[in-house]
Amino acid sequence: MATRETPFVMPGNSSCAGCGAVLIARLVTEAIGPNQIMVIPACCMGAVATSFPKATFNVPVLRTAFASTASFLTGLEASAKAKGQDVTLVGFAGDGATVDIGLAALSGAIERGHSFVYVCYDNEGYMNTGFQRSGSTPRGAQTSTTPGGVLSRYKTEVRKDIAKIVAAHGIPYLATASPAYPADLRRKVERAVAVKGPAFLHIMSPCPLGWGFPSAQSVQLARTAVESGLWKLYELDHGVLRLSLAPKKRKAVREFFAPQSRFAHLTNDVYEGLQAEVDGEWATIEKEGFSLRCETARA
Amino acid sequence: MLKDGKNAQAFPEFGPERRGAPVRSYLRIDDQPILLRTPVTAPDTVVVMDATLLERRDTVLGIKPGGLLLVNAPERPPVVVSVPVRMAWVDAMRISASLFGKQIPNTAMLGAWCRVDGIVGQAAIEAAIREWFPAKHAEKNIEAARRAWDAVEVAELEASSASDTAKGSSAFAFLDDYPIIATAFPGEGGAGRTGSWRISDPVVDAQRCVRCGRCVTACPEGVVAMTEDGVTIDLTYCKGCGICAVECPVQAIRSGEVGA
Amino acid sequence: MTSGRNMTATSAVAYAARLAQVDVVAAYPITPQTRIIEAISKFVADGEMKAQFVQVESEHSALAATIAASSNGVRAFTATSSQGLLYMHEMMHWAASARVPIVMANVNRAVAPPWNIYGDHQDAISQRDTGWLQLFAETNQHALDMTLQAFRVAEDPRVQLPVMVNLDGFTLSHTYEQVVVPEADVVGRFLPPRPPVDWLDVGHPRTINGVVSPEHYIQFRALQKDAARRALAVIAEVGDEFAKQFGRDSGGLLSLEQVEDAEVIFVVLGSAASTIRSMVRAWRALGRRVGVVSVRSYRPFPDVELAEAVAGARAVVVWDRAYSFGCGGPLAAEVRSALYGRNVAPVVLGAVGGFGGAPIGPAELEKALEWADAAMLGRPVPLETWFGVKAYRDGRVPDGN
Repeated sequence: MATRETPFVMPGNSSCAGCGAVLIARLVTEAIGPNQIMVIPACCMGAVATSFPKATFNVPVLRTAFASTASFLTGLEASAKAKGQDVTLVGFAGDGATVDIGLAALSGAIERGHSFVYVCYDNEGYMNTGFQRSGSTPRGAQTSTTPGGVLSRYKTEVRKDIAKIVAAHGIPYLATASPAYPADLRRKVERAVAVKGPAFLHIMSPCPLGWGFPSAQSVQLARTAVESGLWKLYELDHGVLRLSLAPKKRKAVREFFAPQSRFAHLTNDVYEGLQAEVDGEWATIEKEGFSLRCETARA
Repeated sequence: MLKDGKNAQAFPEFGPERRGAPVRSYLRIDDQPILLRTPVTAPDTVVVMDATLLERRDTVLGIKPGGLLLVNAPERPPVVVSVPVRMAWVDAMRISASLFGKQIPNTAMLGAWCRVDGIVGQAAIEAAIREWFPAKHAEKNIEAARRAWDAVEVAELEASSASDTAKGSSAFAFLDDYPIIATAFPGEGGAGRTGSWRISDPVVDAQRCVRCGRCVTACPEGVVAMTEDGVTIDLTYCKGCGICAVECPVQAIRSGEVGA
Repeated sequence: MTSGRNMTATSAVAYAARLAQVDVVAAYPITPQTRIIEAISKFVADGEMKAQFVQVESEHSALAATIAASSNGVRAFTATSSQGLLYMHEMMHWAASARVPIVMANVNRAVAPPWNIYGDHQDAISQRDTGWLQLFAETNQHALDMTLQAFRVAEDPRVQLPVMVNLDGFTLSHTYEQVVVPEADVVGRFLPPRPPVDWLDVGHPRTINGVVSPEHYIQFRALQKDAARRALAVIAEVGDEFAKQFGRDSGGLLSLEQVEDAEVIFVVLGSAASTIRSMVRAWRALGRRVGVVSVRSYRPFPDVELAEAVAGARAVVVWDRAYSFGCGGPLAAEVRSALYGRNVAPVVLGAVGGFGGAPIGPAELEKALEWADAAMLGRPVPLETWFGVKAYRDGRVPDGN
């Protein structure tokens, strides 16, 4: 049996080698500490959470169905209030469970103002079921349901910007984060815990198998996304929007896309278009300051 | 098999997508149509694609006396079995690496199996490879199968009384041993000794290490630790993703061969 | 004369939730359930009830939130109807298999399309195989009493399953009749606080309801099956205890009226039993030997007790207010199944009707008795009849044959 000295994420769990999501789970649970209850829906981490009768996370975890992360948090918060229990309630869900099937529950729970930390680890698709497209899959990506074919070659629709959707609720605290910036991530988790009411963290979660890149590059790829200006690290704290990091010399966006087989079909002119788009955004940021208007969905 | 006029049924043990994790799949061959739709529990032949899987007691579980055990291994693997079997081994990793520059041992193993099992002819295997692969890859794969055909070695293996492969174990022997809902307690190695998933070992150069701890923070599995002696990596569970080596700012960690 | 207050069944259920000292109520409004959650939210607003009341954004979330609260050890309640119950379906299975002792009031209402807000049982019966226990109230008093008993049954260590208390839309939900509201301290003795659970103890972490392999999966289903069967004895026991403490028979598995010497026995769920009782008494006055069985516990299904109760009759009319299309009335099929293997068994006639608020009244019941008489005389009769349905143009009637 595990003791408090044992890690928050048990080694030898069933996550893939180089999994961004389990790394995020470790960083988040470590930052929150033992006084938390996690809710995990159907998603990669839902599968990783147990190898019955062993559990992966060394905190209480209540597994739930795909659409009900935020409604479970709702019920837990109500029960904690009824019991006078002081505990951090954490939702830990993939992008499908957040931006697609669980969006209504998330929206409702934020609107009602329950106190919880909702972490969306975004691996940009239904990775646990074999890499199907989600509302968070970027334009241009090939997935197993937007395969390369004769008539179509990739996902042509722009991804939903879940952080903006959440921001529109007037949520007390919202932040984007990256496993390549663990100190920034940890600070944001701590702030999310401290805030009264709902807090939402949107964290990029590279998936070696689904995105098609060597597992060793998981963290590096997340860093490249930030350094190229594609994945912006920011927080919205009670209406005050702050950019956490502005890369001084931006990498070419191509460095993010090129190592991934899901983007292997992208051509030079597409890269040039994307680069111009990102450059334009950052020019606006430098001129007018960062606003959520600057955040466009891509690729 | 279809090419030899036989009926075949192949199916994996389905689970979520996990790279590197052990998988098991089944094959039935018969002259008659195959109606049985259950996993194979008493196989005539067990093909082990990675010799490290032989550490798991369930890998050769249920093999029939006199059955065939074919292992992808560079040399005769130290296998203990509870029934006498015919063991064959071939270094399919080396064959595939020399032909493809990558470790894709499948067609080499197919060639070795074809030789030692004999249930399907070499011509049928080669025809199937031509059908399955695009033309540009077919010939190399046929070459892999042929090399393995030539290289496979066979030995008769006696049953060992020391073997305990016959029985699995369960914490829940009776229905009332179970909690009323599925309750899992934190424990290491839920997915087994995941160190066996590695295809390369992280090697730490203590002289170069500056103890910055980035590898500790970046390890998804949480198996990299900073101790008084410097960075240590728990190879029992390290899946060999290689993130620590990439993240190290002073190149103090490199990817080395497994077990080197 | 009773000393009760005039109230609807929805108010009665709200009083029951208050008397049960429910900790969490998560719900979403739907006609005809709305009066329950309006009353509860008013109790909470007035400080008369300590519960956390959360109006969520959907029924799926209502039940999900209730499950999560119950998993954390508190007493949780919700209420719904019809489309709302159907929208909960995924969570219905979840609640039962997660073994949370939730109580839910379901105000029975027809299922769309076409849209209809009035009573029938298609909503509840469609959730038959989710693993919930299902009780059916015949009166407004039952709605209150059964809700209290439901918590006792649900939280019993031998059971630990969610319980649905069904009350007919409008016929009970919007009808005023006398209801005795028991004193809080008496209820407190009957229904002590929920036994503690440690599923989400931060000092002793564990993961619940996660992935398991095939060899383990069936074990949890077997445990659930045994618990649901054990609930038969617990429901009977709790009903007896309630009757002793409160002086009212408003629980148990079945309510039997004049079945001992009956030639014809009606079997029915819910408020229609009350109407049939009045007809039985009238028929008895005319010398007819007719009885009625009100099935109070639909799940677990008291098959042995029901077979014993009707075995001596010559004809049994089972009235279904729900239907399994392409098969027949669900309750009728289950009564036939319960009688299977007996040397002598009555003919079981499947009466279908009362859908979408259509009445099961004296006219329908007289016709049904004539049908049963014909069957007893050995005349060829259909085994199923839809009541209140017009004939086709060519004269065919939808008799199920």
